Amino acid sequence: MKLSSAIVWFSVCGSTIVYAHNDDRSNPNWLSASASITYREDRVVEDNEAYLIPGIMLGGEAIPPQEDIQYDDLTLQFTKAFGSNALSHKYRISGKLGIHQGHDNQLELDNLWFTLPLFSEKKQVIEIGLMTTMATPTASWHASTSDLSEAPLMSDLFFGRHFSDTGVRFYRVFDIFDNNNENYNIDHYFNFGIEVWQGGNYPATSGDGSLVAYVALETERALANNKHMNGEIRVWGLRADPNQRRDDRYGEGHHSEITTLTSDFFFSGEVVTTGFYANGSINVQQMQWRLLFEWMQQQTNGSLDNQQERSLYDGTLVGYRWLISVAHQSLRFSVQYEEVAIESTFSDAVSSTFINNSGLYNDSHEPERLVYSADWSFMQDLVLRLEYTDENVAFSSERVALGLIWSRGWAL
Amino acid sequence: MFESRQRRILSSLLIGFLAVLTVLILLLAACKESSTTVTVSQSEAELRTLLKVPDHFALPVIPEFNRPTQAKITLGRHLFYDKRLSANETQSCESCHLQAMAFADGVALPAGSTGQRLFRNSQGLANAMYHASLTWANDGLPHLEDQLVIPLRSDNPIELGINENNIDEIVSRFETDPLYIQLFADAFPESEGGVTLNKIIFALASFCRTIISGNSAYDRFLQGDTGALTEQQLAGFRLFNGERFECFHCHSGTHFTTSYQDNNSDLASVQFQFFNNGLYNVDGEGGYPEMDQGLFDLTGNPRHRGFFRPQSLRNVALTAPYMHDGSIATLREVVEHYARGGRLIESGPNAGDGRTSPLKSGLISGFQATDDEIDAVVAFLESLSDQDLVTNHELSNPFN
Repeated sequence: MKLSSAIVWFSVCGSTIVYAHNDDRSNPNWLSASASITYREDRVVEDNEAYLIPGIMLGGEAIPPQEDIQYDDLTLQFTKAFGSNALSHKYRISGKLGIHQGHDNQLELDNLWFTLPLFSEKKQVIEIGLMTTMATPTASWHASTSDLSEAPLMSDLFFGRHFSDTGVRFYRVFDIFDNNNENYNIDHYFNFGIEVWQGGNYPATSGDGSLVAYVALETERALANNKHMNGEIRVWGLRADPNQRRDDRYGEGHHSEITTLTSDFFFSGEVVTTGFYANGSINVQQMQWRLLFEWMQQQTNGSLDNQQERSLYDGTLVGYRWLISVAHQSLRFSVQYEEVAIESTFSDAVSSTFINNSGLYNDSHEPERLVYSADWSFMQDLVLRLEYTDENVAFSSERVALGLIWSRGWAL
Repeated sequence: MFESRQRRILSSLLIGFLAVLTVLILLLAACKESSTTVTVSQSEAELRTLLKVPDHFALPVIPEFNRPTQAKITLGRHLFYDKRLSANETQSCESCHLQAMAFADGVALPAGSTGQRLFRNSQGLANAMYHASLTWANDGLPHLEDQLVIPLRSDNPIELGINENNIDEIVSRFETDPLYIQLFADAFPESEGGVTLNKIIFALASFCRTIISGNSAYDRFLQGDTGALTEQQLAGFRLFNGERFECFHCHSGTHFTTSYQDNNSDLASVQFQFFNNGLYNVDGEGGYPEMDQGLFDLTGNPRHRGFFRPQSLRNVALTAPYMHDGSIATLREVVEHYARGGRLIESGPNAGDGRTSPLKSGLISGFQATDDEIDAVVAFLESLSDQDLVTNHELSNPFN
């Protein structure tokens, strides 16, 4: 129902718009700052209720949307190149500081990492430090730099919203096609990477490690008559072996006292996540059309306990989302639909109390969310964002949100 | 020319790959449906039926060496109520574990078959097999089969009074009774021998595993009957699980105790919980009356003085008086004891302030509570009483 209404809506509204997003990272030395603040007319979880999505464990920063005016995040990012020892060979140090919703207004160091090109080529690179994964952009979500004010379900459920962990990444870039002349410029890149993490990010647990591998294909075409198109496909896999990972329960205010009794659930075992991400845009007649599609699957295999009872638990979480946007000048309209399905199996003579209290019993519930969004870049660096959300995730909810985004970049 | 053709082919391949992959993924995504499956093996289902374990309980720990059968349970039930099991034929298990009192006895310290006063209060037996360890203060008794040796053979204090001198005589009482000849033969069909103390213990343990309490008002609430608890009981439940009263730290889970194990428990992580709850402080250093100092009497570790297992609170309203020595008469006084953070005994041989005991659990720090709040917690504890347990014919005396 939501899906079909979205298609109708988009057909009607699709003839609008552009949206300017200044994100010039060609200069290796830059500093950027962004902030997002949003007013929501309604909340998802009442006071003293836990945010329980039937069948799904949560972790990281997967907090429910909150009512009234909330800051979403404030981030400060930089990259500084140094130590040039060849024409294009530079070391870099990059970092990100942020204040995020649900973190008690504390400024945190999200990322700080070093980029070390190998040999005399930039195409083989090692990065080391506190970073996010390159598997998918969805893994590290921020309201101030994203299409929508609320994190995609897949960001929350598969990665705990912000992937930030200490690790090492090696990646290799291949120019598989490069043809430039006065009429057009076409580039195809193939990129693969391997990441080894300490395990400090959901779905792993600190010290128990996780491993990511990804391949990406990127294409960019700049044509003479101001037409431009680009696309990106990413396929990736993540393996983690969490040990006694707490299934976090979020809610406004303190946990309800009844919930406190039964919320101490811990998972130990193996988590294998795979994903596919495709994102493409094309400029046609001063309008930019964009289509994003993403699919993820997470296999969870291990045991679940509440420090008293225990059960073997197998779960499969499958989710997808698509986002279509069209932009013209200072306006952009977007619609996003996402849905998640959960298959779970308990075994080992477990009690029904344990299953019910775990929140992992799913009676054919498939969380889904549909969001319509309109952005207006009404001043330089400032964007006004209006959203309508219709979801059935933990509960059925409809809400309107109005937000303001500020972002600015500086060359260093 | 070649480059142009190559470019077109490559571009077409890329676009085609993207399109095919997208369609495949869309199909995959569309095919998935949410579901939850609970797999139960046939042996698990049979065991649950045999013991009548409700669905909201996990299966209890059953040692491999004593798998229960209906015949063992029937034999155990007869033995439980048979006074011929005591040396002087004056007491049975029932003497200290009455069904009407949730298998406790209602006295502070019972007397054994010879009249000797026991050191400890009789515990209710309902759901006993879910405790990580059995008896008030012993971390070496994980199974009922281990524990049952104590009431049968203990000589200080004497309970049923079986010893090496009278065991043959006691066994012969059953070997010559036609009823028991048949019951033992049914219960142990593979055995060629007659009655043994081990068989008696195995049968008693099998019967005790059927003493299950799972139909209190709280159980019905747990299973979704939101009207099963009164408003006062719900208020008490919230206080019980709140950080002010903190009852739930020691009395947690379905069985209201941190001393818990079941069929799925990881033995490496089962916790043998014992706490000093500030009931005594006879020497200012946390000491308990010399007659019974809890886990210390077993380990000799001075830090274990006054360490006792947190009891399950199921049917607690039926099992007064309370504490290991039955020294608190009512549930209200128990709650007041914890509100004070320890008991003050102003005079006599056990004088001392338990609140200042250095061995007392840090969880028992005392709290402010109104009379209404204490009443609410007591009302909630009363909701744990299971009338089915005390009237269940299958658990009653078969000789009546």
